[in-house]
Amino acid sequence: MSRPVLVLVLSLAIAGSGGTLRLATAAPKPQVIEISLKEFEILPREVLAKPGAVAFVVKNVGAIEHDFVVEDTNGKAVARIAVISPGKQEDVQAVLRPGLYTILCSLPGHKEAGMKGLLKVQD
Amino acid sequence: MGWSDLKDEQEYLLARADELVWQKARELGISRRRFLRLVAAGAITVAGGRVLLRSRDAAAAPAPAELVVKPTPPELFYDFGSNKEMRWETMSNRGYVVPNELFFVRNHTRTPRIDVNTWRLRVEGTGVSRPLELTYDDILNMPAVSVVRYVECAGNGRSFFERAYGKRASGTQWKLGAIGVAEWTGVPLREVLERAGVKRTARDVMPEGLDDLRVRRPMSIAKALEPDTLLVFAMNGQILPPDHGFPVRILVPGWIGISNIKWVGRIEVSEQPLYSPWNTESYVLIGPDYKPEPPAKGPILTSQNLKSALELPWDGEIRAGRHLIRGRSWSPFGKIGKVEVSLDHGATWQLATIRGPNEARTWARWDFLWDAKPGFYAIRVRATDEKGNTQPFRVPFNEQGYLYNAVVGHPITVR
Repeated sequence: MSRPVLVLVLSLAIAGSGGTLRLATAAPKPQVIEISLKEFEILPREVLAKPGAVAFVVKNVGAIEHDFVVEDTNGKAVARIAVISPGKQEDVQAVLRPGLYTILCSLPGHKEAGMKGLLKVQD
Repeated sequence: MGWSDLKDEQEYLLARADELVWQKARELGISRRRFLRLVAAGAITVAGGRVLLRSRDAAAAPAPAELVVKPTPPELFYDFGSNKEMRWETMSNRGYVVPNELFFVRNHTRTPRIDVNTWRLRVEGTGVSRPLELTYDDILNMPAVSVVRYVECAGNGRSFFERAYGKRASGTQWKLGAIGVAEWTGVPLREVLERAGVKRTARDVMPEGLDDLRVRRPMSIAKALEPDTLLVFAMNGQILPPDHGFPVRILVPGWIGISNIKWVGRIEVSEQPLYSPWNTESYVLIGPDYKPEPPAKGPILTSQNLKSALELPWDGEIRAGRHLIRGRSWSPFGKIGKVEVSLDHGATWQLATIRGPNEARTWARWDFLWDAKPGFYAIRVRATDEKGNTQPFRVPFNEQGYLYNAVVGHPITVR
């Protein structure tokens, strides 16, 4: 089992000039989590993230099509990349609350073959 | 429950889903209502069967680098990795069936190379009294029939969800070329099941492929015993090609494409309901217009539906002047009753002329004359079958992108 990956928060809370905090227009940069997909694995298998905006950058390093889904504990998709062609990279963002999530490929049979992992969102 | 029941796929799947709930609840010693609550809360997942990544049989050779065996050049196919979509313009001025070299390919992984000398078909399970192991020659020596039927991916047309809703549905972004009609030759599955001593108490039959994922999906015993449910060994008069299931595949007419398992190595016949990820996790309708139906994540997918396509290049060009424009429509429910065409964004419609043959579970060819003037057009086709089903103008979004059969504007430029 791979070690959990701690993804650093890259966001900047202050936007605008002169150090003025402008909440109305502040758009914090999301944490960036890089994921690789192949037959039939998601790497890394365990991911840690801070609550808030998260950008998943997902590369298909396999030979066939895959997709990418983040599901909450109710099985509801909170982020989804519909299809990633072999050799291609796509990204998706989500604002995540603390908790456990499953990252997976939802194409038929792929999750059952091993394409799923755990995402922990905690402070 | 007799064999004559549950020939309809929707009724079959709903009945089996309900039985699964009762069975699992009994196993856990809890009420059905409690079980459903736990499923809804994510505390229990219901995934049928196991998945083996590696073949246990000597028949499946090590996976080669190529995903598909036959040539699939870009002038004939859209390339989606292991999936190859037929370009509809390649069917222009051709006959009724799709030649093997043009037939679309839907592979969950890659085409396995099967050594027919070591390949065996096992027919086993609690639903048979005489388990069988058949060789290829055994299959070829059984009585065979030929039928003309279409096989269509349940996700054919998926890419049009993005055009309609601005977001993609998961899976291969087919246009309308994930369909093909062929003459399939094979042994009625009934023949094999009877030789295996199928019991009156048998309920489900699940063919299993020898591909990397062991793709498998059950059907009711009633469907398995229908005369056109076949163990196919030939396609359009040729030995079944590797990409289409050599040495044998199942043909399950009218049911969604995934039911037509390729590279079959085992058939389980059971007195109990059977499940796999291909009828529990996938091939269900998930979206804002569909409510969860535990244990399924949404309404269970039913038969294919009514669609149409033009034998023209997508977003292509034709010269100004008179043209006989051809296309095809297909329905799992009955013959095609009428086909209407619009060249003005649906303001007016004209009837196309249907050309035979015209039977259910295949397709009907049709054509119309067009005196094409220069400009850009989106040709719309709307078919109606003899049962009164008509292609709609909108299909509710579903996350996995199944059964998109709305009227599509086919872009074409006239110069």
